Amino acid sequence: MARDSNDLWNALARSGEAVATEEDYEHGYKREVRGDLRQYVAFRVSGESYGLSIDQISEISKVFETTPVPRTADFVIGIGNVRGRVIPILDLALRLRLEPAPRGRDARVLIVHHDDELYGMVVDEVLYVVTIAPEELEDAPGAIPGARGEYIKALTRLEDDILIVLELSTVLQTRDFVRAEHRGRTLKVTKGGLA
Amino acid sequence: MTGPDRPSNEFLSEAQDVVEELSRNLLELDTQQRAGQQFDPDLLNAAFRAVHSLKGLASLFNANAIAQLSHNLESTLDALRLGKLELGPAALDVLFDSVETFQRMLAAFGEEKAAPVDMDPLLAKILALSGGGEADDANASLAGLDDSILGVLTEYEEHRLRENIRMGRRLFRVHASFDLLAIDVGIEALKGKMKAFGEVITYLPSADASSDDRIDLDILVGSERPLAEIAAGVAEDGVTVYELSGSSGSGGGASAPAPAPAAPRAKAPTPASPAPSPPRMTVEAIEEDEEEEDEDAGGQPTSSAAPVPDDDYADLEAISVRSVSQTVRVDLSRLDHLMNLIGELGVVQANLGGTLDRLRMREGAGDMVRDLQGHLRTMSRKLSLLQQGLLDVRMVPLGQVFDKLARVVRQVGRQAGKDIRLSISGSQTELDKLIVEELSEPLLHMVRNAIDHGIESREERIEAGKPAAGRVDLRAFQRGNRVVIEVEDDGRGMDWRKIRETAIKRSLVTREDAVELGTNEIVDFIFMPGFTTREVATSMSGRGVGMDVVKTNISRLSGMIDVDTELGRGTRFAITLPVTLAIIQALVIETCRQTFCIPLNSVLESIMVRQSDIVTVEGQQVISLRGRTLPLLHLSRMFGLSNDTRFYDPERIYVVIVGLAQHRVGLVVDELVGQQDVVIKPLGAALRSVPGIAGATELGANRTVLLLDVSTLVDEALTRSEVVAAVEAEAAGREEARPHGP
Amino acid sequence: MPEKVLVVEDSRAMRVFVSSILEATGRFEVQEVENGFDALRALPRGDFAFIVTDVNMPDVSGIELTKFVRDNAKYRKTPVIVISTDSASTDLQRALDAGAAAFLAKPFTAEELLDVIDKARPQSEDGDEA
Repeated sequence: MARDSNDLWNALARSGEAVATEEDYEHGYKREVRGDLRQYVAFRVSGESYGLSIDQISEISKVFETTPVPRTADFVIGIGNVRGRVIPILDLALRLRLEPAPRGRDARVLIVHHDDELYGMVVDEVLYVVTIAPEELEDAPGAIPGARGEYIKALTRLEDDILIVLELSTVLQTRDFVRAEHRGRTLKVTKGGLA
Repeated sequence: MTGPDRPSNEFLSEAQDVVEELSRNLLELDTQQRAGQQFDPDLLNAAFRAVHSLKGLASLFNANAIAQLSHNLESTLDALRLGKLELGPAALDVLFDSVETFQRMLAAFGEEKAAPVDMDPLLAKILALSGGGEADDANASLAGLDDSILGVLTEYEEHRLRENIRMGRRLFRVHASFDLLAIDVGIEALKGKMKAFGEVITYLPSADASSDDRIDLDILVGSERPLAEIAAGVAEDGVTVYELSGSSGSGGGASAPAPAPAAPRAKAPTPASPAPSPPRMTVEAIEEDEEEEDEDAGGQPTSSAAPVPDDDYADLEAISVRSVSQTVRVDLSRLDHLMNLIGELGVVQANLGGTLDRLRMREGAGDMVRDLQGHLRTMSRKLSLLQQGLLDVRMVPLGQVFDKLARVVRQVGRQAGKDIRLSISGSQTELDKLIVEELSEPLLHMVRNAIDHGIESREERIEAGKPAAGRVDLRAFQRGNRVVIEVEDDGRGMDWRKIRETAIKRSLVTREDAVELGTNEIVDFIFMPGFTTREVATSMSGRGVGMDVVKTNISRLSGMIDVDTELGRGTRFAITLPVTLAIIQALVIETCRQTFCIPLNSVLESIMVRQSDIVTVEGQQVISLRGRTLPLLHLSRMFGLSNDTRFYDPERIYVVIVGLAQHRVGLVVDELVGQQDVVIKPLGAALRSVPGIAGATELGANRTVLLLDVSTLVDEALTRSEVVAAVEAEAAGREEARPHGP
Repeated sequence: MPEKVLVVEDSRAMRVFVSSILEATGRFEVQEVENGFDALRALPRGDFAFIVTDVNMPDVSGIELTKFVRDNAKYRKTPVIVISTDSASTDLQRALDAGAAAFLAKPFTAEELLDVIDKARPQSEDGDEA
């Protein structure tokens, strides 16, 4: 398990599945590079550490101005402009039903992509990038107390931290974005669906 | 119900059709022969097919004599079409003879007492024909022709391929991609173009690169014309022409003549079948087709020398092929990107203007400011030309959708057993590509509804004194900066009484309130979600099934839909749409310190009223405008914004009148900021369904602003009972209330 | 639930004949089309248990249709039964080479058609096709 918190941006810039660290080469030989190692970006939300696979994140940005959108759920901060695209920005603490911490200087917006769409998620602080092998992930969301089990994909124990890996498909469940009383029947007629 | 026991008139009617078709084909062949022309192989093939069908039919219905004659005739025609027999006057005579014999036999069929037709003399003549010499296909060998093509050719197709080669024609592979729904229309158009150049040998559907909505076809064409000419002649979206090498008759091998001019070379063709996700469109562009390039290393040099029959077609594979497509496909998202840039330039320009205004206030900058102003004016002119140019590129004719609909009408009509006359007008009306794409589903739905539920059965129609065939009209026309699309049928229309009953049953309106509603308002209930169940559908002749969905789709396009119906006479739906989606004119307003844009095409006017002009009836605020009562809506309340009254000046209340036709409301806002062209951006999957919000736009300085979906807001307001009640009560009591006019 | 079947045949009487045999069994729901293009169009919209097609049709022939179905990952497992006038023709042979599951020469009886269909369809126990 290699952790290099100081080189977050480099790690973000790098992509690919197998990452051999400098240590690997220092010893004069190249260790076997495993193809199934994944890098995770760890971040703090209301005092807990969460993680997302690095390939789900397209950008980490400072907090920027957003426009509130009426009739949306409380966790929807609003919309923001990211490289010419208008994307929804959400407060991850509120989404995970945690007590939000005051937003400080370290707050960041994780721009994630999911189902061909971009979303911004405000977190308290981005911590480090960590490489995790599949066997180190505990597939036990039931162990998480409270109602947020559905948003959790897996857990992993680091030396001094427990990292909770988020399940984006539930965190970004689109029907939750609109307030219940305004959820109309915007039935989508799919292509060819009328034949 | 089993086949062979079906009444014989099923057989007779089809057999007669077949024989008539045979007769027509023969007459045309005869004309060609008399004129000394080469006969059209398609005609001969059609004649063969007619007899072939007749044979199948006859054996099915135990019409043994007809089966026997057609069997013999089929062999003869097969030999003729395969070039094994020559089609001369003698053969034609025998064929015409056969047509007459068939007609006599059919006339006698089923008549118990009719004397059997003696066909022996004819059979003898047919036999005599077949004794003729055999033509030989071997002189046009296909050795080396790609097995994947050869293997799927019918014997006849293979013969035609050989014939084309024997005649020294070039062979072309025309690759085309079609929308499955409209493939017959597309093929027909393309076939017409290709036949002008030569012969269409076959159509090969390609299994790969086909999505559910599209299909790719390789069409094998033989022609004497050069590649460039054919390519220009069939130029169309997604059509690419390749020449199969060797087809223009080179000697092949090392003894090949000197390097040929303009030898075609492989070029990466544009993918004909678009990836499923992004919408694509076609942009006209000119591709250089005169460039001279050397042959690929592995290819045979081709020659433009006089065609020589040759049996070396080893390279008939598409080695030396070349795309001469006249169009370039461009991802819509790339155009959107350009559009965004133009929008941003517009903001820059506005900022420049602002700076210039401030500069003008200073002293001593006169001349330079004037210069700058001149430049700025030129720039804004060019900018709007650029914007218009880009918008034009995105425009496509509605015909694309109408063609699909024509197809559906045929299909649905047939399924429903109804005879439908579809008339289409305004196919050339253009709309933004995105709008056209989004429109096809709602329109399909409406047309299907019209046929399934609107048009009565044949019997019903005749009883009602209407023509037996139902009429469906599709019309499109431009009205100002909008396009109107109408779907009209002459069917049974809708019964507002039944709709009212259903609305009451569905608790969409109370019985007391319903009595007060006008027929138009009642008919509008069909756009409500409650009107989608089957039970309702039957009670109101099925009209309105899914109409709420149609309405949602239309309003997502900033469009409106209206319905007009008359019991027993028919129904007309009218969709009003902006011509273009990407950029619209918007009214910028502020309420509770939040800025919103309202599409200007839904704004009727903006007025200022005083608190004393506002009357509260049944708890609902209304104003009277030129004798009409308008309910007032506070955007801040509808959107649950703060109830901050700091900006509220009882002497200056801004009201934006929005809506269409009788559906009008006044939106109360704090501030009118101004009008502006805005680039609409979608909100993405998660926020797309927020009611009342149509999208977002940038208003300079990276300020993202929401764009209102006016028609949804108006609907929302007008279905609230207190609004309905207030409007009615106020209208009734207007005499006494006598509020201030604006 | 009856299974859906696609019948491709340009002669109307023949089409009706085949359909009525199939529908009379109560096991099948038939979609009839009259040419190869219509068949191509119908394919993505119906989950067909099998296809019965005439070999000799203009434009897109039964051979070409068979090859298309065989080559297309989505339809590969759908058996194609070809019907033809002449049981010895090159065309029929090519249709079989292109991957047709069975053929039937016209004229045929209802029993023959149903028999050929039953034989052409994969038995439930051998789901071993790659």
